[in-house]
Amino acid sequence: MRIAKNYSVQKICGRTVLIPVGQSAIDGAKILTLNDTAEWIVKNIMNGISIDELHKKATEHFQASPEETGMLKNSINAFIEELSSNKLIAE
Amino acid sequence: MRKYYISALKIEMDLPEELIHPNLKPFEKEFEQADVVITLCSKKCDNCSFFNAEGSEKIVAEDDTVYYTPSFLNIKFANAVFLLGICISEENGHYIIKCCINSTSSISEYDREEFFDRIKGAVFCVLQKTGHYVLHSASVIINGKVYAFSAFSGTGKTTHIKKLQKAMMCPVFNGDLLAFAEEDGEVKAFALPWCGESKEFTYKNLPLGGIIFLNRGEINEIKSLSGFQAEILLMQRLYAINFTEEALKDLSCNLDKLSTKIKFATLRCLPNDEAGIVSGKYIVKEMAEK
Repeated sequence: MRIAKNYSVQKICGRTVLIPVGQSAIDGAKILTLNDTAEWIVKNIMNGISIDELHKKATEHFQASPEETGMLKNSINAFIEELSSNKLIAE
Repeated sequence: MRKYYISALKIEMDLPEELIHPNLKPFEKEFEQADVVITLCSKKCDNCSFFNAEGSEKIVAEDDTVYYTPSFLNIKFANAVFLLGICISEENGHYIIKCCINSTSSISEYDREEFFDRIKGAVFCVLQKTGHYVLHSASVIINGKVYAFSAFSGTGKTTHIKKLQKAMMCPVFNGDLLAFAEEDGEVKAFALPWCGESKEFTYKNLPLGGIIFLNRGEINEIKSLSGFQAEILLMQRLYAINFTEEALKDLSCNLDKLSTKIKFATLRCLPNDEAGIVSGKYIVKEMAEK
């Protein structure tokens, strides 16, 4: 899983955004502003992480308890789904 | 050869006289030495093979096809009869914009208008590469500074500018476009010979006082904008095409610097006289001094 080639992660005034480049910029694709959690997930996706690895790494990073792990997994999956539906993820 | 200046950029027009639009008049300021030279020239060709240059990326914009690499950018126009395409290349700060013209076609008034409009995009591409940005906006001059109102087409920029002129008795800087860049530590607005349907433009280069993003509203209300909000809006309104990640990085890096030196506001307004008074008062009280 990777961030689509037609999007670039940039810092604007200290905040992280996903900005369309090339054809996507022409086609009017949206600029997405990321919060700290989303930025952490996107940076891992940029390194080519798998969804299972991402779940594992997030559990450690956010120090999720066994009760919280399921909720964290669901939140990550929902975010990945949102990125995919906006064509921001390439397999 | 005709010469025009946008900031310290010299544009040399090595074009047939019949292609020079009457709107292109000499600029107010001439520089002895230009940092960047843009040469516009025409060449007659029936079949430009370099439009499909090997190793280039391709994007399609409003049916026109753009081929690009880090060192050149070629635009092939869809359904073109006279001006088939434009090729931009650069060597040591000298940009060449070659206009590929159909050798079998004679030049009509329509061709000249279309030519003038199309070379605009090529010149803006070069301006972007040299840290000069072009904003879709209507702008006025108040107390020696330029204030630009930016909005998507049809929102009411021209209407608002007329209301502002009525309230402030201020001249129009440009009815449709604004070029800006940092020069000598301040952000300046530079004259462009393109002005859209408004037909209003000047040849002055003046300090840029502020940029106001205009939207239609139920009441007349103007508020300042944070740097982040302003930069995101600015990115969406500039004539800046992010062909590559490197170009985008340059753009966001430059805008980060420039946006600290410009005042931004957002205006929600009605098409009435009060709107002109509201924005005029705000400009004088909140934006004029920085």
